[in-house]
Amino acid sequence: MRPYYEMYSQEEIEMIYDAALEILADVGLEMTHPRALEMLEGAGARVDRKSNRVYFPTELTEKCLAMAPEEFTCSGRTEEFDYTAGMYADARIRTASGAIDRFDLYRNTTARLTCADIAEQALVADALPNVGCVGSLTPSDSPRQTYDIYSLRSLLENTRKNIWVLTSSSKNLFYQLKMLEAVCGSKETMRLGRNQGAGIFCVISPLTITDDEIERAMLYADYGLPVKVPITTLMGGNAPYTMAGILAQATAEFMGCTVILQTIKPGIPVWYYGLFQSLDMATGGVQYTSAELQATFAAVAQLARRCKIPPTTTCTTSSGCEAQQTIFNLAQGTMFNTLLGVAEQGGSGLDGNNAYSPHALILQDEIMSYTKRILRSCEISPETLAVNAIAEVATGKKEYVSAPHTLKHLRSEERLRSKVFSYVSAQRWFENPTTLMQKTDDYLTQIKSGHEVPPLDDHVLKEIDDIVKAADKELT
Amino acid sequence: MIEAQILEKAKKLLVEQDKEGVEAIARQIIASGHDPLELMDKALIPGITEVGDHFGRGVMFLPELMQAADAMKSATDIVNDALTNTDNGKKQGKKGKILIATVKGDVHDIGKCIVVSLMRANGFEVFDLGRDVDTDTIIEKAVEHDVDIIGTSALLTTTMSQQKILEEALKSAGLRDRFATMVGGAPCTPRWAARIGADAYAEDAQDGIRRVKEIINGK
Repeated sequence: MRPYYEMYSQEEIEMIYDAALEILADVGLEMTHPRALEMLEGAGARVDRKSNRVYFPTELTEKCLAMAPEEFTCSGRTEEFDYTAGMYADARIRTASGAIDRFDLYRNTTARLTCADIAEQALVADALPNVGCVGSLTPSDSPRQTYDIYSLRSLLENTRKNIWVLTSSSKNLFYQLKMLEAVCGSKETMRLGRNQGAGIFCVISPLTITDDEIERAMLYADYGLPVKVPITTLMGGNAPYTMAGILAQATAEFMGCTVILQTIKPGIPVWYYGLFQSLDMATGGVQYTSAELQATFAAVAQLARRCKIPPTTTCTTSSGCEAQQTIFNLAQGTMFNTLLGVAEQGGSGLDGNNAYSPHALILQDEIMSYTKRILRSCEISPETLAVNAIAEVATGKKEYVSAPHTLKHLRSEERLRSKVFSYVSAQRWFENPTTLMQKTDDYLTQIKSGHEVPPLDDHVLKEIDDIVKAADKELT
Repeated sequence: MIEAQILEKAKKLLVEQDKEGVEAIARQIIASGHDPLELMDKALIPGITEVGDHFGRGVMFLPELMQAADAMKSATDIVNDALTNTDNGKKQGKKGKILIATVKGDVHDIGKCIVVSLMRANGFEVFDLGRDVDTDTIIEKAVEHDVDIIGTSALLTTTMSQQKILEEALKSAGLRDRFATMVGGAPCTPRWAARIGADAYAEDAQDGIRRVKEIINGK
């Protein structure tokens, strides 16, 4: 198991955990979906139909938390592209999700996203070793009512990685799941775990679940997709101003969502996704990343482990797409989240995920490789301690470059070499100054011209196309 | 003439966001037979201006601004009631009237609430219709209150189209020239505002105040 850092004491985590249980039991969630209310009542929740509130007894909540698997496979198009979601799994990136703009960090340009940009993200994600999941984006060149369906088509055609199937409604989700079915072969195959997708189940803070969210959850569950539960809450806005307060409310919301999902389908895999933001009381603006938010993500990691459920967080930027600050946010967020033991983390989304950046994605992948290399530490053994080699060199040639010990370990002792960082001396660099962004852009060009994703079979492409047409006909 | 000391106290209570204190002193001043407009011009308006200045400089924060705006609204209501009951009969003129709503299908309103507070703190009369408000209701209420500006907020790409629908509905009703329109919300951009024919785009609450002032002063 790779090492991870825990900032909070067990007692502190238990206080938050207990507060969350208390909120669910005494404050409950606001819900009106008739079928969900029936199911929850049958499971042991107390339903007050007058006030539209559902109260979750602690026993029910803890029983449902225990039903969710601690570890599970998130499938790609083939097993080679699967990744494991779990409390101690290898760290992976989930690309920007929901963005509406594409920002070019090298050229400092921005434009509304198109389906071609979504295809670009899918392709780049397919090529990068640390990307596990590719998020859906929001194209501007598709019908407004079916943009999420067009987004999924671009992703399915251009990546073999797992896809986060964001949706605008249960009506749209029906068509999206049909598209996945076309690629995966059958609904049964999807239910058995080969579904190349993950779903989303959202709460509106504070403590409110809409009817359509339940409809979507039922569809995801029917097709066997694991579900991320993002708690997108605004510290000081629709969540308490105190950091402990947002953790209590968010954890209650996550637990409540888990009870609902496990009641709909026992054993459905879920993530506790901390996607907190902070209301900047000095300006009224929203901060998507800050030291305080990072500290709350540290608690999310520990709380998820307490619940025995995989955590996921993010490190989007508040910078409004300014390159240097973006790099800082990506570096601190990616490294720190990985150190916290968060196995799946978002990022590469700029301006609070309103913008997608291929450069940020490549950089985040590099930063994650760097971080994972640090955490792999080194092999400590009599051979690698090199005592004999030290004795020889210290009393002999006094250089290790040509020593047999060096030659013996030259290829086996790991040294990470970045694809985009510079390794030349300052003098050499000044002769031909090349920025990190420029090198990243060169690498992006290389991926786009050289990386290939095997096309889907013609009959699958046709089936997807027919589904999109049917969706347009019904929904536009 | 109201004593300078009392005016200073009223202003201080407002800056300190003491709503009950402001209400009490306003009632006391009016009950003593003093001119409500003098209270407004020499205490309340300078007080709320000072609050706005403090916020702009980062000395006061958003919740404090909203508390002060709430106290100001309460005091203004007391002043207006007093003016209605006097021979003067002339209500405290507001700088302008704005109707604001989160569009149909959208339930996000924290940003809008911040905008409302800031606008009230700047002396504008604001009609807040809340969230998930359909176009017909927006237009109906804009006419009813005879506002100067209609502001709409949308946080989702799926709901921002309602802002375009509002523009089209105003044109169809022959009301487009009667109201200025302003759009805001995370997915909105100046380009979006231009594309749909809105008069202004507000990037955030403070930008919104600037745009509102530009529109009102330009009238």
